Amino acid sequence: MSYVTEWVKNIFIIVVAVSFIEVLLPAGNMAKYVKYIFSLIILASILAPLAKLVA
Amino acid sequence: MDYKDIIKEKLAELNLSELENVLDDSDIAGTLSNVSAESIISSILAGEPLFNTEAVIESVKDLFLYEMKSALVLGVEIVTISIVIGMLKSLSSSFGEKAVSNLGTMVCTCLIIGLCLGNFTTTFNLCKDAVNTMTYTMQILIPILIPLLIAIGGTVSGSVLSPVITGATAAVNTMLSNLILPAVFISTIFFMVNSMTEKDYVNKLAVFIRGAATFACGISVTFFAGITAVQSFVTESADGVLADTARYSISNFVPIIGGFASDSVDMMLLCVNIIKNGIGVLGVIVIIVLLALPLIKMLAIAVVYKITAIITEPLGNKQVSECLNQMGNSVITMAVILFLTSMMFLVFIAIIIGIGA
Repeated sequence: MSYVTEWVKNIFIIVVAVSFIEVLLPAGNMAKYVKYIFSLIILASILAPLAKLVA
Repeated sequence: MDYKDIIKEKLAELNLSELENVLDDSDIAGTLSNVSAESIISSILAGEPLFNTEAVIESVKDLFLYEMKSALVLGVEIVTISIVIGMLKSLSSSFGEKAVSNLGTMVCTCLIIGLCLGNFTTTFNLCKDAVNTMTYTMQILIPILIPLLIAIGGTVSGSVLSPVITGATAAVNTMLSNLILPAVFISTIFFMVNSMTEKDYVNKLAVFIRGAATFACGISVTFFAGITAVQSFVTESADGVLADTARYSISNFVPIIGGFASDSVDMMLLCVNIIKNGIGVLGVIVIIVLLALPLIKMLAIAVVYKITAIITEPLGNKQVSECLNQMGNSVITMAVILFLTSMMFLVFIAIIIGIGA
């Protein structure tokens, strides 16, 4: 149960942080690449329990 | 000895105070203040209806409107913040930089999520408490009903159903409070966090978790109600054979007074049966009252969420409106889960009432 709570907490914090950073990001050339990296980070945090299961 | 005296005497031997305490504690509306096992049995015998239907409908309506009113405060707060968000969006050109207005919008969305989360936590605890109280009621009701069931000749039914029903009640309670209700809560958190951005990050995940929770609840309730019903069919016929054999042997093998003896045994059994059914009906009433109050409250909250979603939609904030809509769905899901659980408990009581009818 505590692991699930931590997982949900992590996703919550990461998504909130990512949405704030995306707004504050300067609209430069690199913006779209940074957003792509952010999507990868969220993907990793969602799949974290899977990694624990396999290991 | 009159049959009413027998019933009164038998009823006095039972300890029903705990069950009636639960009823008194849960009865806020005050419509059921005079309901007790004794009054139910006497009105069954006198052929009177158990409820004053108009009064019950009236109090349910009053309760729903009262809950709507108290939930409306939240709706008004959310609509106010949504209006501010709409203003920020339309003013974005005059700020020059778009990031400032976007940031303002996001902060307002955070505020709405905070408000919703507080309210949703209260609703969640309400649902959890209701499930726990219902389980507690079943745990005090079953030890009262099973001995009565055995007393009217349902030896096999009593000995088989008692562990089955107790086990199923405990198992469903554990599943609900540790697995299903937290899953609904988690999916709601994902819906909320998803409304922060225009992109969907965790939408599908939230939909999946909520669907899985609903499915698990439906499956477990069907499973436990099903096995109990099947058990009761078999044991009931076994009991019928036993009781008939006993009655037959008394009336035929005991000379002269055997016929009278078997008749008076029959009357005694019928009286105990009336008591069992009266207490069963009291249990049904307690479960329905325990179900009705949280259910009305949750439906009122869900309606307020949905109405707020409808109002915020034309203000041009798609995410907030979608979030509120999904929160309404989550509250409705919890109400459905609560309803299914109480249905399972009602099926258990109905099975016990039905045996030996």
